[in-house]
Amino acid sequence: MAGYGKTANAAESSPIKIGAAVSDTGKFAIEGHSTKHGYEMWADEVNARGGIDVAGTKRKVQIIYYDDQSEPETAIKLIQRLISEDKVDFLFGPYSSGLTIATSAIAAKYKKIMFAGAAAANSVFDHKNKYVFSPLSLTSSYTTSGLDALKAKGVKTIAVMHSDDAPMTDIKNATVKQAEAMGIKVVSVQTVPADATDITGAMRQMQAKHPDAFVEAGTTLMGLLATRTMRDIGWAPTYVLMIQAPTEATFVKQLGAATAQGIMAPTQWVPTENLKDKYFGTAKDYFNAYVKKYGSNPSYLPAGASAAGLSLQLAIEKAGSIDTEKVRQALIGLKANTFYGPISYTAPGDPSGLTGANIHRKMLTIQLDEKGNQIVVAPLDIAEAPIQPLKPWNAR
Amino acid sequence: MSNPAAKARSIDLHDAGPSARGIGRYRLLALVLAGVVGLSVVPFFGVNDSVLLTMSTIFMWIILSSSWNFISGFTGYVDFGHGVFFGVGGYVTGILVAKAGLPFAPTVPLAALFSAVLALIIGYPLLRLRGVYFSIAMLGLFLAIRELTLIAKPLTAGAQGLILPSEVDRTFFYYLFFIGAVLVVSLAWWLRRSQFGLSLLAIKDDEYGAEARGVNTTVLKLTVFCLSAAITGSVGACWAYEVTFIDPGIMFRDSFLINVAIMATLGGLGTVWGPVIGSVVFLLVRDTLWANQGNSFLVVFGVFLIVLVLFMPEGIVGTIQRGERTVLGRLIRRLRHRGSSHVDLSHPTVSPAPTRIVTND
Amino acid sequence: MHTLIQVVIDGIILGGFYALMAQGLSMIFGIMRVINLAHGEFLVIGAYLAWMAHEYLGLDVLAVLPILIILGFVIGWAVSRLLVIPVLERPELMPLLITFGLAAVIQGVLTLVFTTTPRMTTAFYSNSILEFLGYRISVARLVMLVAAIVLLGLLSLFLNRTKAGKAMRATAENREAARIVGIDVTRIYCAAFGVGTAAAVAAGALFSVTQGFYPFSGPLFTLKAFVIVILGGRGRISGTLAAAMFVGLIESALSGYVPNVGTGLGTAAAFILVVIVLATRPKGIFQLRGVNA
Repeated sequence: MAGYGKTANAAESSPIKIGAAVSDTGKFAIEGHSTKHGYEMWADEVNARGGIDVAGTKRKVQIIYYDDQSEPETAIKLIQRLISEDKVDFLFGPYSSGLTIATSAIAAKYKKIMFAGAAAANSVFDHKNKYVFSPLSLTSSYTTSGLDALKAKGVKTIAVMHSDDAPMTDIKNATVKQAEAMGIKVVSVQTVPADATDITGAMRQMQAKHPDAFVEAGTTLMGLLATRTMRDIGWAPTYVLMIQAPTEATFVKQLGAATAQGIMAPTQWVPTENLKDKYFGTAKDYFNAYVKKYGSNPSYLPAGASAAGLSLQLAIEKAGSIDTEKVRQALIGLKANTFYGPISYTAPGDPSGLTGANIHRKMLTIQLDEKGNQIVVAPLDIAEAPIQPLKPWNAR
Repeated sequence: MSNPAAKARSIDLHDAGPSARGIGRYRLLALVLAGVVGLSVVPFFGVNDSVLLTMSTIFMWIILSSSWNFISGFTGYVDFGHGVFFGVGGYVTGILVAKAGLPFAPTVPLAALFSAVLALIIGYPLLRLRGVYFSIAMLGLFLAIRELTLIAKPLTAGAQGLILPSEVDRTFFYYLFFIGAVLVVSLAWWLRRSQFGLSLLAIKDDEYGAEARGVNTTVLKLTVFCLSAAITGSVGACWAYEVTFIDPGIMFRDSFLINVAIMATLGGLGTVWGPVIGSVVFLLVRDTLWANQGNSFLVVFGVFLIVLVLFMPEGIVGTIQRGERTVLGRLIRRLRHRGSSHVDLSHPTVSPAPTRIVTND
Repeated sequence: MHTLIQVVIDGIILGGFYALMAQGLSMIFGIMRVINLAHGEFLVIGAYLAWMAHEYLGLDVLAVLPILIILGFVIGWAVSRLLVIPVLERPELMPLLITFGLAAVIQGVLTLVFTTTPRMTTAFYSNSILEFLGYRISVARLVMLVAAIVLLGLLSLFLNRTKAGKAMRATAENREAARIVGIDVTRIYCAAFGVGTAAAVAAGALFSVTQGFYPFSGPLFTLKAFVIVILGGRGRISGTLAAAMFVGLIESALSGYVPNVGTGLGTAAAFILVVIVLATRPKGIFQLRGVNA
């Protein structure tokens, strides 16, 4: 706590320090790199404009990155080091939900605002920690727009398969609950280990129930395996929604566009012209700037990371201070339209039971076309094309 | 590690450890006492919480690798699933605190007891297995219990995890793990000199021979296994409370299994100070590598492990004390000019267990 | 009935892959008494080699399989000579630690070279399905089964009919006796490790067509192989095959009939079984009396 007062009194021109724990290596290296690029995009944008306007003084931002290795012990140690030794003003948290919950307890203890890196699980925001924020849509809303669109297509039954980890279980629970509320019957729910290498049995059980639609909640590897297995067992439900895999370029590349065609996925973000702000321009501009800088297409992760930074920047400008409580109040009162979509955070005591979550933003749903391009098909008001039913495997 | 306090501490431990034989018992005792007193006042000198956390983590691993050393270093039964007790202990506390609303303190002895009972139940059949079979059985048990923790959702909340209402108080955990480490190292020191400890080392050297001489090896092995499990279980309980959130992946992590083995091996299997030195060196080296190596960390870490096993199998303490069979050890001996005190070490090349029963302590 | 037969077919196909995957580990364990913790990483190496052959050279998995097997043998021999043989006479913790270190190095190098993006190998039979009487079998999985049977058959011939094979079996039975009758035990160890690694590389190459993989896929394979080696008893092909089929059928049945928890329960059951088998019948439950290899 000694460090806190010191930072607030520091020279006005000194940079605002932000600590980030990202996975630079190990299993989540890809996700970690993407997220880090997003933070860099934002910091470079801010610093190119001379910094954040804090009550009339321009202050640049300086981000201190540490590699959390996806190890709980390391993540905790790094957050503690960022707070106590580097004396940062704000925190960008680690990758997984479990690590975010563990580290957010530390952030709360030292009264530091922490943006949850890429953790979208509801459990991160439902235990009354008022210092955690995230612009990402939560796991509970992943399949909402997709289910709406499927309902409109006349879908009456669905089967759900999820891998046995926290975020995917959240998605399963939310999907089952929403489907039943809409009058869609859930005919089969299957749980598979997160690192399964054979899911034929689970898939056959679902196939036997002949659902109109199949929802898969798992990582990219699980999505690859599920698609492969569907083809092997000759199961082509009319509609297929996969949580993560279809939004990753490698999915189409490894399976071929013919196999991937027609599979849908929720996505946090797409680079359209419709979303814009005065810093990054339109989502399309952001996309182009990212490609120019890093040579690859941005997924939702860098966009979400940049959006987290952007919301922090807007809150600091509004508060005219980097004092934690003032910025926290500003974040709660924030209502911004950005290249990432609308951002507003729930306050403690929100009827949703969530604190610091961006719940009013809708998830988009995309479908892969015959070339492997992602076409927005839901929500219906911004859809680029109607949903196409999946072709039988032998008709490809 | 740029702060002076951390530096001072690691130097303390270095001084107290390997020179055990070189400097005489009283000077060693004085050094250890000075170290203990010095470390126990560290939190009063305005050291920041990050340093306290780093140090308490080192103490925690000293307890864990020392307790692993009791079963695997002393008796030679390589427990390759010791993390099961850490996880089970953590879940006992996790469930009692998060679900039953118990305060933290009484759950720790319960976690220790539960771990010891589990060790008794599985140790009875498994400790009859010699060699690598025991290691595999323990690994199997570790994995089975992790899967069961995932499946038993009503009790453990499965992959969703449990949130423990806890205070993030670094000073409290510093003292908790510091006192634990002092106790465990004292226990190891006593064990090494007691008849009980010598009998354990006899099991490692020649179990059938020990039995023939009338040592009840089954009772000894089970006792030390339960002791080791109880210590590890209570550390798991404390750590679960410290991290405030547990799930099967966090409590039953694979890296635990290899870390305790590396720390004890690096320091010296079956020695008192080995796990202490090994934990300090390993954690400092690992953190330095993480900070500086980035993407090639895994490669550097793997090479470090291979080099350790190939060139320093007796560990730091073992090499210094009686490393006649290694190049490094012979060099150190020659430098020290002490040739009188050792028993004959010309042992047949088969099963060169690093520790002998007869020591000149 | 239809479901039952389909479950059995799925189980046998899964078992075939498991047999090939585990036999390598079983040989190394049986002959050298070493648990190779880098076994799964050798599978992943095989998968990446097959993927590269198709991606950069346009060659099919089956075409490069013989080359991969030879390459696997050479890698295995070298690893054995440089890393395993030097620590073989030391306490059993040392081989465990050294192969774990090797696994870390392989994972690290694969991540540096290929990143963690999942890959999947394309083969000319990737999308083919065999259909008869309403049962469907993926050709990629069938190829895996057939290749596994052929390779295990060849291995059996090698062990029973060749001088080197007989020397290996003799060494597995009694190391000291083998040394006395003039068998170069070190060479036998290297060869066994080479053959075991070659089997792993082959299994990985065939596997890579059926499913995605990434640099950290290895440990799971090592664990599965463990289970099978313990159930099957060390070293013998018949035991490994029976145990692999058993595990494949159990997994297939559990995941085919038990809703919701299915496969996770299977994994837990397999590991509990390992503990029970080791506690009661340390030589494995599929060890046929008097039958060698």
